[in-house]
Amino acid sequence: MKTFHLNQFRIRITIAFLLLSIAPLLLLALTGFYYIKHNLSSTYLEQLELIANNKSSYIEEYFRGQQLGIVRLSKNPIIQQALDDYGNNYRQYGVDSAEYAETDRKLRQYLEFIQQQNGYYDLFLISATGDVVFSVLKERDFATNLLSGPNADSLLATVFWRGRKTGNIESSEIRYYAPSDKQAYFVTIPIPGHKGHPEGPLGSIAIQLNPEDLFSLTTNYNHLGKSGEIVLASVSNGTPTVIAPLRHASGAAFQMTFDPQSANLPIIKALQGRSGIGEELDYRGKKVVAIWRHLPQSNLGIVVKIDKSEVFETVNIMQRWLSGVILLAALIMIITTTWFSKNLSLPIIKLANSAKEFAQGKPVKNIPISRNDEIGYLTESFNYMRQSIETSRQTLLNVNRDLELRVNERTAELEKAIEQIKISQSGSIQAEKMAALGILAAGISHEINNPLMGLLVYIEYAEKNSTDVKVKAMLTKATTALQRIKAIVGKMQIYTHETTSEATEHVSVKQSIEDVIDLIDKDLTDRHITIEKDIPESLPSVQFNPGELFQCLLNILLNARDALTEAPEKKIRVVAYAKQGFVNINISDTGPGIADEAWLKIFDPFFTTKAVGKGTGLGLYVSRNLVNKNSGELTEESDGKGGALFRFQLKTN
Amino acid sequence: MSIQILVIDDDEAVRDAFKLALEEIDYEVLTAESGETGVDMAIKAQPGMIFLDLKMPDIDGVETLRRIRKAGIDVPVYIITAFMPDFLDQLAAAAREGLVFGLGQKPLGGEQIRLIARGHIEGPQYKLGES
Repeated sequence: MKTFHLNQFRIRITIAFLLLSIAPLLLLALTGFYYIKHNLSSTYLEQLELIANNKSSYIEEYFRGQQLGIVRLSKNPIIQQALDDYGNNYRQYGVDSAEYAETDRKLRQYLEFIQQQNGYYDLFLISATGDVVFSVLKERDFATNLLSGPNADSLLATVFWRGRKTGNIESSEIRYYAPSDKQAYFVTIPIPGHKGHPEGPLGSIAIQLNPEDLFSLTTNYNHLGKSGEIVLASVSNGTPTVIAPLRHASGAAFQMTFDPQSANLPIIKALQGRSGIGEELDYRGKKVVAIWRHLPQSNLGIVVKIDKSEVFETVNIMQRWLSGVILLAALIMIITTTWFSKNLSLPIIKLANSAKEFAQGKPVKNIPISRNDEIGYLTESFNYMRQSIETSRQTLLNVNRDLELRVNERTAELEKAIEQIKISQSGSIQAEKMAALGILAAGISHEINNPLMGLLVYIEYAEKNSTDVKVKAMLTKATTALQRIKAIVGKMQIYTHETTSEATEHVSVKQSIEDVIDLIDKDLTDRHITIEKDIPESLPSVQFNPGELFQCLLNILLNARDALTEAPEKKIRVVAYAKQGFVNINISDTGPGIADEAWLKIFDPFFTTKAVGKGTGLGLYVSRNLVNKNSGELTEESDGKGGALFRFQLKTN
Repeated sequence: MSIQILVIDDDEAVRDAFKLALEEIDYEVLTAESGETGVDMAIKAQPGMIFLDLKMPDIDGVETLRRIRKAGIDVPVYIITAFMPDFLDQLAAAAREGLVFGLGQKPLGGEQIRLIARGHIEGPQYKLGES
């Protein structure tokens, strides 16, 4: 028996449909996303580049502007004069002198004006020997010597001496400047001496700038979405330091530093002098799309970046949305295909189950046809077939029932017949035993007949021809004994006559009677016995074994013959007639009739009134048995006129 | 010429019986062992009567009788037999054929034999029943 997986078809269809519908979707989605992502990337990068360019230019411009400014200042005769004057007074008279105060009164306003106009934090005039002879703000760096004073290693000092050495503009790093207690950076430019001055340069001008001026650059987040950021950093004391606030860390300015070894950070790359563009990990470790630039003018590094997740935010949203859609589609697909295949496979399974049940003999109703497609057609055909088989089954059942009935009837008949046979067999078994015995006896007795005849005459002859009285007497006794044997043999013969062929036939009574009479006719004539016959031609035939009928009739007739031995009138009358379904045969004689005391016993076996050797006692007994056996009756009815009357009543066919 | 009686029977005892019984009354007894022999003898000797057995080895009694009658022999034929049913049927058939014969039942004693013979030969004045 094959095993069937009843879900397989359904599952296969579902899987196939799913694949068919979702695979293209996925494919489309994947390529689409890839393309979109790529596009978005480029788009954002363009934007960032724009911003980066903007900022970079601005910063460079800013720094260049400052330099240009200070160059212009250096060429300003008033500034030059101021430097000279302030320097001389400071040197000669000291910072608290009246002469210094006078110069200050004259020039401060103009110098302050310049400072304000240019947005400098502070403006310095520094003598050639390093004295800070003028400062607008007069902080702790004012009136100190940058070589030997307390600020000798300050940012200002460093940049001043560098400038003095190189004779060029020099810019400082952007760092914490203690005298101002804030972050600062300086630009200085030496002022060369003029023709009238014998001792080289006059000194230098220095401006102190506030890095916070740049803050606004990095805090404008236009076009930078939600996560876009500008990182501005410089190297201060060898450490890369953020110099402007960060979006993601507002207090980062001058606080956040980087490890210069982390070469992959865009900001480090920028500070190292490289410029580039790409997808990197920023200082937060997040994936970003970044542009990094080195700003040579200011020796700064700038990174304009935006979180990758934001760039691809739309895409990610779309991806998520699409995943949802695909899931939903898959769900719908599964439901649909499940329904659809159930629609197919359930009816099929139902049909199959119905067929199985039907084959097993369970009662099955017609399956309702609820659709008009191929399945409906199949269902209808199945119903039709089932009905046809059902009808055949029913017919078969009916035929069987009929047969059974008939068989039962016939069996009952047969049983009845068998019963009857048994009943008659118990009689006929007996009879058969007797028959077997009889045949044996008949055979024996018949064989005895001949030697018996011889014996009888032999003994008679011997008796007649012997003279010895005693011998004669003995022989006479022997004769008597032989007569007895003869009688016995005779009885046996007659007794065995009963067991002959069993066949009953349609026997003509007239014919039988005439046969018997023919047989003994001569004998009767010899005895002077007349026989009268009254037998109509139209006598119906009777149901009798012909041999047996012959025997019975012969027997009665012989009895009649014997009865007339001594009778004065010797007449035998045989009359036959039909009456009410029977044929009657009356055989009467004119003999002495049957004595009263003998009348009851005449039909008994071995009863005889005849002398020994003259007759047997079995004749009537046997005859009656034979007649009864053939469904007839034999009775003796003396009519009172003397003589015997034997009546046969035989059943007609 | 003495009266001749033919006895046709295959059994010696039967033949002896007839012989002894009938020679007592000075009848001459001719015997035949079989039907065929009997027929020949009947034709040749032309006996006064014939005693005939039914059951014989070659041709049976009825056939013997038939042939005897066919040969034109009209003398009384007495069939002596045991009353067995087959024989009775045969006899009935023979009677229907028109064959004439007498019937006697075996075993017959000497007296009965003499009775029958005398009755047939010497005529009806000899009364039956006298033993």
